Amino acid sequence: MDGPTVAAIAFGILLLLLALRVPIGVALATVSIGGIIALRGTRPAFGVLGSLPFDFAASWSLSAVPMFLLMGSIAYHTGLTRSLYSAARLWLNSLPGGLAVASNFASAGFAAASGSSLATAAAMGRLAIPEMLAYGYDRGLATGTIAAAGTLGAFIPPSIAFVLYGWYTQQPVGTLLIAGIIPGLLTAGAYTVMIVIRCSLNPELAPRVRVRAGVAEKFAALRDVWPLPLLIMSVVGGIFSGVATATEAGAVGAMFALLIALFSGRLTLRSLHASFMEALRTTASIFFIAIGAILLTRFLAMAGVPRLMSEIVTGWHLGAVGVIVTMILVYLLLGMFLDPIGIMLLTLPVFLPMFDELNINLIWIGVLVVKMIEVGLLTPPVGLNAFVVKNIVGDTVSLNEIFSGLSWFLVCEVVIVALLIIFPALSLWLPGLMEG
Amino acid sequence: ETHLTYGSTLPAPHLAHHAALEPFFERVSDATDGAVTWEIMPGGTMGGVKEVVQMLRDNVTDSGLILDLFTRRELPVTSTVSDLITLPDDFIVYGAAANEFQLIACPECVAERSEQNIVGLAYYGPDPYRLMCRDQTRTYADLQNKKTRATGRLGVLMQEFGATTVTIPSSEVYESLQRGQADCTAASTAWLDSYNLKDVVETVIDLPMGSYFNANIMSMNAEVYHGLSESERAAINENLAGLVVDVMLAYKKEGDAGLDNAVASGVELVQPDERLLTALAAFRKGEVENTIATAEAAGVKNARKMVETYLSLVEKWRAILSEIGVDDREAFVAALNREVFSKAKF
Amino acid sequence: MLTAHKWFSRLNTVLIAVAIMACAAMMVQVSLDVISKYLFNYPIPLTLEAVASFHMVALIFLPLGLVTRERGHVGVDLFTRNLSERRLAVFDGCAGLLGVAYAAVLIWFTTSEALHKTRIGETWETAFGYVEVWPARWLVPAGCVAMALWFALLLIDDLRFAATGERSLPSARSADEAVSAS
Ligand code: NA
Ligand code: NA
Repeated sequence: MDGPTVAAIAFGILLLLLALRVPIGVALATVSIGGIIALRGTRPAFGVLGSLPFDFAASWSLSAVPMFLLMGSIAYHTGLTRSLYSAARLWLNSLPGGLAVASNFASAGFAAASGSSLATAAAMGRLAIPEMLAYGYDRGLATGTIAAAGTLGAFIPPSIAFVLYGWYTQQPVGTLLIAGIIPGLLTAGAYTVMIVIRCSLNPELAPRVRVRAGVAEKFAALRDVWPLPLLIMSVVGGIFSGVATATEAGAVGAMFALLIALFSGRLTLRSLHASFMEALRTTASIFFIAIGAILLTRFLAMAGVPRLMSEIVTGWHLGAVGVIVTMILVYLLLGMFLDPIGIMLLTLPVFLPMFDELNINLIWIGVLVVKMIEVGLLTPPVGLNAFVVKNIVGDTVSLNEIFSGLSWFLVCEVVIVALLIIFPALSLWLPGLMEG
Repeated sequence: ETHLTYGSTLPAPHLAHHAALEPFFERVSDATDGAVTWEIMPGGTMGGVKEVVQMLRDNVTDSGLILDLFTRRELPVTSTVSDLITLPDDFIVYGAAANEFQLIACPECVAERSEQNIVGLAYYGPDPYRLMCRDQTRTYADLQNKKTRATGRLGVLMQEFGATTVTIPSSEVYESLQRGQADCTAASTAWLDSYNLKDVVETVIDLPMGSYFNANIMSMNAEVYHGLSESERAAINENLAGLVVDVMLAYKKEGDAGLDNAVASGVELVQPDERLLTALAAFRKGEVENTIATAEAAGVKNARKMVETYLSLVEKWRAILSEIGVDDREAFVAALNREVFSKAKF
Repeated sequence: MLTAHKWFSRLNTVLIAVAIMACAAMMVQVSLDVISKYLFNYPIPLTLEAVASFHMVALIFLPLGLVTRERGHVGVDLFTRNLSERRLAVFDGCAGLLGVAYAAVLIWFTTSEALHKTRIGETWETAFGYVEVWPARWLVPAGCVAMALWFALLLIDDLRFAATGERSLPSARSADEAVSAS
């Protein structure tokens, strides 16, 4: 059997296994191992299996994910998040979906500190979702907002995704980071508009508070909100002032949350234990899935999927628009199953030569690529941001509710991607300004 | 027809792929009338730098790039000379010598790779590391206590220079120089372009501080290599010298271009002061003994003899290359074929 | 089965304790490194290596037993939502079987890899010389053993429930561990 046939069969089995409730990490690994055995024999398959789990986990850059998870869970379990949200509730009462909008912008702020979507969703999820649920927000809206707004982490600098794209394509990282800013703000803006419209049309999604608070009461509520803004500002400030790198900031943030909780008298052994347990649980289950996704990437590369794609797309003799639209569709498809790095690894070698030939600006393409791999974090069945959120909420919200909540954000993404394609200036104007 | 895979941890558009490996694969394919074709799997798709030896041994890929600094204990003998990384004052000389050493002068190395089910076919060295700083660091005195990103023996060298060595992954170099988590970095001048360091760096000290000359650009799974027909193997072997020369000349070109572009965009190229030169010379002297001691501690017998052999080959190639000049591709290829590839038994 | 549950839970407790220590050590060590680097120009040696090669591996693999016990692996329940509890248990049992198989294969090959790396004494090169990292290789099979045991135990419980309608194990999450928003 040739590679593509094996890959097609493997995908069929994968979908079947997922439908039968097999854990995603197990399903991805099973078909990948089976596929590699079918293509190259047992020795390569078991060789990969022996070394990949450790080599993937033993990563400094990824350490920001568990540390930001820990920061978020400490802030939640010690009650640092509560007062901010009760104040936000009073202040944003007049805005439909006020808390969701606030969480959306808080994520944008946090994204300025964190280079990773997963870390952003992890940290903000713990801070925001329980509060939104406590105020009766629709479960899909609350979780979808955080999972989607987490992707701002990759657009507002710093951004691991842009750094990796820059490395894989040998494009200047600084220019790419600047290029991501406006698309990131555009995304935050589009999400806001969508949330406000949905909540105005259907107020049940985000119940407003009955009691009308006076001005004095509103200001009184501000007295206790300081811990969370202090935490976020010190993480962001620590990075901008050159004290800590984006990776180190995770650990520093967790430490800082611990200290704030300690000095404000809110730290108990019980809350500390709960925070650590939660960070561990979420880290382990997310990375377990990621290992499966990377196994799948290796299998697809062995199956010659990149070569097949390249033959097909080259054979079509598409123009610039055709290639870009094809790329978007390929990313949408692969994004359903793979992690961001895997998608870039499989597709960039295929598409880069075509873009080169068609003289398409690779900075602009970088923005589209990052946008699409971020969309992949939100699409079922394998959507890592949705899984981060799922781990945070436990059994209170089902995965289906999260994905259906996310579908509204995906509608926004269709508009955003269309705008990014139609108006390249959205991506290229700011870097052009920078270079004079 | 044989379709082979090449696993690389370098990004797809990397010069090692388009300027050296792809032309090499094409020459082999032509010489075999299309019977042997290759496909590069770039960016670490098939495994990271630490997995490469195992990846080749288990035939996850058929061929690949081994940077044995990351897999010291998998290949302790082959990587003996790798600790001399800070020595190269001329990376092309050291790279050429690495081929003769690995393929001919060091039978223990050949045997070790063979035990790992791997055939090492060609070696190279990339362009050298230089010091680059975000501020006006120009001298040894300026460098004191500067947070400098460097790894391995280069990191030790930075400490020797009085700088503070910090460990930051290459993906964060740009950000950390921009914001000051690092003041300086030891880096290839090609990074000025590829990581855009020219935007965040003010000075480059024009002092080559070494090059990783023991990079095995072409290694193959032994069963796959020996499974090819005799004429197919000959087609590979006859084109290896061209591969070695192409990759090193491409590095030279790209490194020079990176520096030129940087200078054009306002980065200052600073000549090293006397104290830097003496400190580097003193450090290099100690590195030979250190390399021998490290290898012996890892259980390598004859480490001293191996290091001395390699260094004598460096002088041999220094003489050869000063005669033909590095820019004469054909003469360089002929010399490598005459001295190394026509004699090597793979 | 309750005895197995008790002993497997104890195993989890031990592994989680190590993982918590790794997580705490990571937070403390990186923070100290940042402070010391900023204030005294003195980075704490080997911070990156300790975090990457040990702490990260510990906190990713050691909790896998706990995640499995709590049925915390993410799965898709879109197509099986309307099934009865006992029908679901059949599906979960089959999924558990695959889980046991995957975990067993992982244990086998990551153990042989750990053995190999131990034998050669795997090192990473740093600015402070070569550091031995091979002990961390054993964290992978250690976590996978706990995962395999829990997959197996839950699988038996699921199949039993499917057949008889009775469970013999206590429910997945105890009250104090529940993370549901209150
Ligand atoms: Na960011
Ligand atoms: Na997805």
